[in-house]
Amino acid sequence: MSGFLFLLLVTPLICTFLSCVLHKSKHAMSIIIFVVSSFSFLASILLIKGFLDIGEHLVAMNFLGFISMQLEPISLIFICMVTFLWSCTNLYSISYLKVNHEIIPTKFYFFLSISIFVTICIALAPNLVVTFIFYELLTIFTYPLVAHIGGDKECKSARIYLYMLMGASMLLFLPALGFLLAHIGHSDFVIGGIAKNLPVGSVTILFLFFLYGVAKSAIVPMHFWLPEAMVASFPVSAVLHAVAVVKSGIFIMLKISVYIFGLDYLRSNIFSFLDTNIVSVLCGLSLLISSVFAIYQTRIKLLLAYSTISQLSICLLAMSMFHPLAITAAILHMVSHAFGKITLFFASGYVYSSSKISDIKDFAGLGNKMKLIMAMFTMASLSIIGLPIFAGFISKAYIYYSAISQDINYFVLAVLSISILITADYFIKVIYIIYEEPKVISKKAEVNYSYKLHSSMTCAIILTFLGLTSYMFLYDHIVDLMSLVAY
Amino acid sequence: MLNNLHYILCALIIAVGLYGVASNSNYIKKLVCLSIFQSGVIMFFLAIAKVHGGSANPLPHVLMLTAIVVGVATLAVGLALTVMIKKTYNTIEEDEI
Amino acid sequence: MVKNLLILEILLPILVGCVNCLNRRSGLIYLITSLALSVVCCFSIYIAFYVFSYGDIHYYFGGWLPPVGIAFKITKLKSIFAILISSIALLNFLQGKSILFNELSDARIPGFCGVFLICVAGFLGVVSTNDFFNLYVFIEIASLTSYALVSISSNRDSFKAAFNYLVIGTIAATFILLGIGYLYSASGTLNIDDFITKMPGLVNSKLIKLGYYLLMTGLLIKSGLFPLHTWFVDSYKASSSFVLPFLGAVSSKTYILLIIILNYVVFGQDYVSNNTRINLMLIIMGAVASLIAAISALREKNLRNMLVFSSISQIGYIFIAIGLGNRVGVIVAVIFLISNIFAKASLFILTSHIFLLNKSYIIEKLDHLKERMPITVALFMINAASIIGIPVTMGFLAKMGLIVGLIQEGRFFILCLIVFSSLISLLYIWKFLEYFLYTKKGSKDIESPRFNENKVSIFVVVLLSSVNLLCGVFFEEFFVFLNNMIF
Repeated sequence: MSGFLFLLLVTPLICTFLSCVLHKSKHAMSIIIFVVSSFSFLASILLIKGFLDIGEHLVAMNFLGFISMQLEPISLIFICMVTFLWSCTNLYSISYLKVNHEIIPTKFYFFLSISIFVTICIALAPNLVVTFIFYELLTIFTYPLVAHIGGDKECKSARIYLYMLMGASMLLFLPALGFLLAHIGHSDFVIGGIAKNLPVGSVTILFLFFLYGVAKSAIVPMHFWLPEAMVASFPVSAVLHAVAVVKSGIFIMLKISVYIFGLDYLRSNIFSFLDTNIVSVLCGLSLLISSVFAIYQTRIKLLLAYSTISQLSICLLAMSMFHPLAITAAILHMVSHAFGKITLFFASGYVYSSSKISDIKDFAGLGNKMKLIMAMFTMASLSIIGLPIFAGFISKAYIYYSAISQDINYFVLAVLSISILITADYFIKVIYIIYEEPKVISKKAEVNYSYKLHSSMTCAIILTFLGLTSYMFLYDHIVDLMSLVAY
Repeated sequence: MLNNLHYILCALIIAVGLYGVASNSNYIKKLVCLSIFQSGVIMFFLAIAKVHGGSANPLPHVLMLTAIVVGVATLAVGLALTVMIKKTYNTIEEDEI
Repeated sequence: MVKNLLILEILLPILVGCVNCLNRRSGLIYLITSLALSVVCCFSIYIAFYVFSYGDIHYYFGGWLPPVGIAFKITKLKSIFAILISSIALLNFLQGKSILFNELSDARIPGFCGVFLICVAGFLGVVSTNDFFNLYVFIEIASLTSYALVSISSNRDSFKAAFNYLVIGTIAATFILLGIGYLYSASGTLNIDDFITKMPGLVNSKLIKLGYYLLMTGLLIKSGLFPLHTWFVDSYKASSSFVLPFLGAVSSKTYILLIIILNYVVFGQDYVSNNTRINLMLIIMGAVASLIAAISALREKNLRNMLVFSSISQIGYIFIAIGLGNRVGVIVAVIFLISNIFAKASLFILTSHIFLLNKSYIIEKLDHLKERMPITVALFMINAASIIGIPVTMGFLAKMGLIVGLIQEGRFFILCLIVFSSLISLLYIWKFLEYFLYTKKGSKDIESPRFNENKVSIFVVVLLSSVNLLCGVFFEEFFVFLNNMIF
């Protein structure tokens, strides 16, 4: 068990080391890094198996005598998702870097591998202080990937990215953490939460400080960094800003609700408002605002960014119902959205690297030129909308189920339905543009799309799409694992 | 009040010195007022050394010898700096620099 | 035997310094001074080991026991500071050879080295002494030599700045003398240990209160707390770049250490909290200092001036920690002092080498410095991270401790102020780093040859930064060490 943990942690570090050492032969470096990263996914699966064998709710492990880590179902699912999608991204990058020469492979792989290492450390952290340390380090290590090209526009966007994330964590997350340490003395993740000793009136405000302080979960006033981060290259946007960074924000919020505050305590003490609690109202507002913003976007990356923000708000909305079924629903949605969004980003990156198209209106007619890729794009977007046979349907249905299960939460039901309609609006608009024959053939679309040239990109897209379709077999396992969480 | 006349005198000298440092714009005058300020403090120490009906306490006197030497050293450094200021700017009025 | 080392540590630099002024060969003088400083550093390390193993060391001049004679005393905290002072002096001297020989003519170097040695002796004496008047004498020795050090510079403004520094510094030292006079007249003793035993009986004395206030005023002026900081800015702006790492890192920090010892050991928090209102005043002035200095630093386009304002801002934090009045406050203040000494010394050393090679401090001229001096920029980033308070550095531990301490005391408004000022510190440092890392549009030189960075200075800064990072990573052992060290 500790061997698998060691393998899991060491793999990103080996990739970092390889990226420095192998800088002469870039193509070989990409392939070797992909192979090494797939071992991390193997390690995380074996780790889950080991955890199931132990059968405890929460396992604490000691590494080298002074590093302590904690494993529990939420973090295991997160690690599994991150390592799988990281391996897919490495596969994708093999061709992407070959075609797009403005990206420097050494720097790219170095910071990407370190960011994944830091993400895994966030998942394994035993208390909130260590989580905070790695959370800040994640911002710092993803900055060079956002400002990679180094031009004025990228620098400006990367500056906003850095200021927003560090500002929110310095102004809100750190004082809230300090409050916890000042009143309780430690911030360990414990079953049932440690917040019982806090002064009663402060729970709502403290939770809101955490909610807005963890700006990586992109709740609406703190969401500005995500569209700015889209100046990064497509693999970076895909794995970091659809999977690792934003999902780590959701992950931290889930851990805070379950293991620091405790669900029962939150349910009884959060300020209630409009027949539901204030956290639900704020998340619902965030959801509606970001969905509306997404309708007006004309560039594919910004559309996907705002769509990510709204789907993350759905995860937070599910979490805000504060009962075990709701937490499971949030995790299911987190995973299904990750698979869907990364497929969308990969497909858009494929189009971009062939013909530098980044406006949605230039996508016209691509449905007939790149049948396979666009078919997967369409099905992934249908999954995010939540259409019945796809993965998103399962997770959204689970959220509906958890909203009706204890007291019927009308607010969540209403907001979720409205958001599904708005999501459908902007995604179906894109699908329509893709499959409609263009009246005027734009110069950009007249490029030969050869699958052989971008074979690894195609493979990666197929891989993530398979993950999406196998979700109906996967979700059972996730629910089983989540049933081991002790509240 | 008359008992404490010597303390009031020291306080006056200190105040005069301090005011002089702040208000004068000539560097030499500033240094002289600084010296007056330090003399005031030295006199205060000497004043507390008095013992009624006996010889004065010698410890403050001795300490003040050291303090006088320190004051002289400060004055020397200050004057050296003033010479260099005169060489660089050709004036020793603070307003003109 | 060890007791003699205590006095040799101070006599040796003074003797060597006086002898230095007689010789004329600058190379030989430089060598002799470096040897003397390394011997002093070894003495201080040996003394620290002895103190940690066996307890406090006392040295009585001439064999006269207190309260009759003058005594030296080294406790654990003071010994650590003695090591810091002597090692920063040594490291600064070793790495600054090219800078020194560049800035001063050969004829002035022997005198400069002599004055430097006496300054080091003065600061070591301030830290070692246990007698009030002896304290005044050593403060004056250190101050006079620092006025001289500030004036020895190729900058035209240095004489005027040194004169102002002299006037304000002498007024402050004279206040200290006056305060000592009041304390002597009330208690009848000049020995600090003896004074501590007499304090409980003198709690209601007005003389003691006045003496305390005068002493504090003098020391606060010398530390550079906000309303009394104008001399600090001007003299550090005008001083030579060789002297700045030593003076900027060491001088005000030594006086702050004196304030800590005065408030917590000599007078004790019982007296200070109940009879004086200095804690409240320190907290308010510290908060205002940190905010206003941070805003001033934001407007600076000159690298060195920005760092000077940043020093004033950090001094504000230290005074807030001192004003907290409990054990957490002392520990946080000491962490701030140590981290600031390391980080500021490294930053000033790097800045002086940047100036040596680029001939300018202005931000626009230092465009894309990463291509010319990559190692310098990397080390600059690590030390700047310590100033901002990014995790895994000592600065983060200090900031976190300050936030916890403020919440425990319930001072939420001050917490808002310092959190804002730390955000502003991110802004003003990042502005420079962005210019260093990326090329701005319209930059004149496209050709940027790699400069030959000074190996010794890089080694010195790596040493200082690695101590910073090690203490940041192994923070639990560091806290245990500090707890042991602080009375």
